[in-house]
Amino acid sequence: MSGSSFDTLELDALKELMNVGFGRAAATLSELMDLHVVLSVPRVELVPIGELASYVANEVDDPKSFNVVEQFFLGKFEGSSFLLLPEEEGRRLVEMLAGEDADADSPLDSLERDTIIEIGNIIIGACVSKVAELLGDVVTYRPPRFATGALDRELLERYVKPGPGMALVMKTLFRFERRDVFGLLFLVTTDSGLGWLKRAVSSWLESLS
Amino acid sequence: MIRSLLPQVLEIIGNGVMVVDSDGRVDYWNRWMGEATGVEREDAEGRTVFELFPGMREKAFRRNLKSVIAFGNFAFFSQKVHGAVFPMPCAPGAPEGFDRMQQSCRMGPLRHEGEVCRAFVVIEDVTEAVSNERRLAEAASRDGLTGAYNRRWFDRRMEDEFDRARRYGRGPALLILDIDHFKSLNDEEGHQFGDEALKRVAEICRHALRSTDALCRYGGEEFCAVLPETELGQGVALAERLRTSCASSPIAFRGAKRSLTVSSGVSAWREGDDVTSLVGRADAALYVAKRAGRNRVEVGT
Amino acid sequence: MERSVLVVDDSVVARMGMKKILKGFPLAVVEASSGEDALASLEAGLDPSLVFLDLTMPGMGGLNALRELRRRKPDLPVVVVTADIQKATIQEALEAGATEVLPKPAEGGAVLGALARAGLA
Repeated sequence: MSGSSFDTLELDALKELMNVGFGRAAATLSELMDLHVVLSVPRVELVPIGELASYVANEVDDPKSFNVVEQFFLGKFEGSSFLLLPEEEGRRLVEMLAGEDADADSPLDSLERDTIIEIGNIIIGACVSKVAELLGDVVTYRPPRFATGALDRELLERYVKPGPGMALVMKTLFRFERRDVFGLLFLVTTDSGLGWLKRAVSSWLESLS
Repeated sequence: MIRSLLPQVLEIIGNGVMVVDSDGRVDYWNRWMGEATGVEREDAEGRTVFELFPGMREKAFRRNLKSVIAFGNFAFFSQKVHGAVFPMPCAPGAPEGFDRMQQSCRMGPLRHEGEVCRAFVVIEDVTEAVSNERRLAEAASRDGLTGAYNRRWFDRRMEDEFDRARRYGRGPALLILDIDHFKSLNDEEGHQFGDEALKRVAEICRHALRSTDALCRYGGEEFCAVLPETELGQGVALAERLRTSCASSPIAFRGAKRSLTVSSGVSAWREGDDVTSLVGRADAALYVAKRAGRNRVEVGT
Repeated sequence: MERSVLVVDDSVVARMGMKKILKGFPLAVVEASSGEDALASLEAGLDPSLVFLDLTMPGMGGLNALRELRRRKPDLPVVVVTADIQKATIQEALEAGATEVLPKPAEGGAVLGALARAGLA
């Protein structure tokens, strides 16, 4: 596998890339939606694909009830992105955004789902495209998929097929200040995306030394 | 040469295609759009989608449009949640039962020299697929004889109701209704008469229920009505109405005519309930009603 | 005595980038990987002429470090270099006492300007 070894410096570089990319995404998101996003220190790790599900479940306090928006992005930078929102947070998002022109006929459950998918799609797109942009790439997206329930192996393996190889997991925490909604974003690159990412990061590092 | 042919594809493709700027102003409107809306290209181009489609969900659309322009995002509007993003009449020959074309739409960025400058919108008419899907789902959830929902549907519906109760603190009431002496009715008048009785009782029930309530065939001669966000007292009142309606509507079938009565047990959701406990109380109440002489309503406590 | 600049960032790569830009100047570059680290260097006697400070860092974080730096050295210029370029964040940093705020990744021209304003270039 071409890209499955990243040294500490390369991982640090990726972290910084995420940091900058998400920062730019947050700046635009805050203008679009009039929200201040509190960014956390991103984490970047290589995780064996077979352990991904338990890795993600371990990252949250209470994996019992989550909304998951997953979206596949394609380009040289390629993989799956997940936005995880605890169920409670989903409802806050709806209160925050859907009140404005909600269709009175649509039941609240589907409205909630709709809002979460829409916001998930926007946040994922913002973050992924800004990271891709920094690396000189343009990505396209498959339609978002939505799931809700316990954050277990079964749920996650619907999106990430178990198999050999490593996944590069980049994780950050969002908190919409004032509204107190938080969510977790994961990017999981594919194997081919990994090789490209390693080359892109190496050349970026070279430019610094 | 092929490049010069491609614009023709946009005109003959079976989808609506629009190009809009960051304000939602239409720069391009393909032939399909003209046919589906009755608005010609010359009249559409230069106006905003909000003018062209009054009543569309403007804020959500604007938010998505901004994200397409700012981030190069793709936005997806599924029929399941949006129905019709761009309100349009159904196409000629569309299946019955829809007041608007059902749509699946997507929107994405168009770039000029690397910078996003416009958004494309593609609209797909999915009315027929939705109609088929609904018919299938409908067929799979009904009892063929009475038209009431079946047991599998009931189980799923109860899960949803409890989910809602857990979230919003308002749960359903449940009414289990059983035709009295159904076995002897069947034995004496024949199975077809029994079937007729089941159909009639289902009809009486459906007539009395609110549109949000649901009638299910729970067992052989047992029906179950799910009454969302309903207090015990309202449930009992409904059960009483059903009891008197049934008692005063004799069944006539191929010359035979018999009166019948029904017994019911009613329970209502309370904190800490699960499906089993709620059904259990209604069931126990029904048993009490039978023991106490039938043609009665009892309350599960 | 050679004047010094303190670069505070949890990212090695970000510090590398900053050092590369500062290489041409007669300045000693001291690195710290957290707010706590930076305060400890001051404790140990470091007296920088300028601080470049990241905001999103583990531990006490950049904003708290900034407030503490301000408290201890009211006249020390502190340039916040951050990926978080939301208006509200920039406002918050300025209110906490930042001399100016630069977006990440730090750019040569912007850093040079900050040095000039601090009288270091």
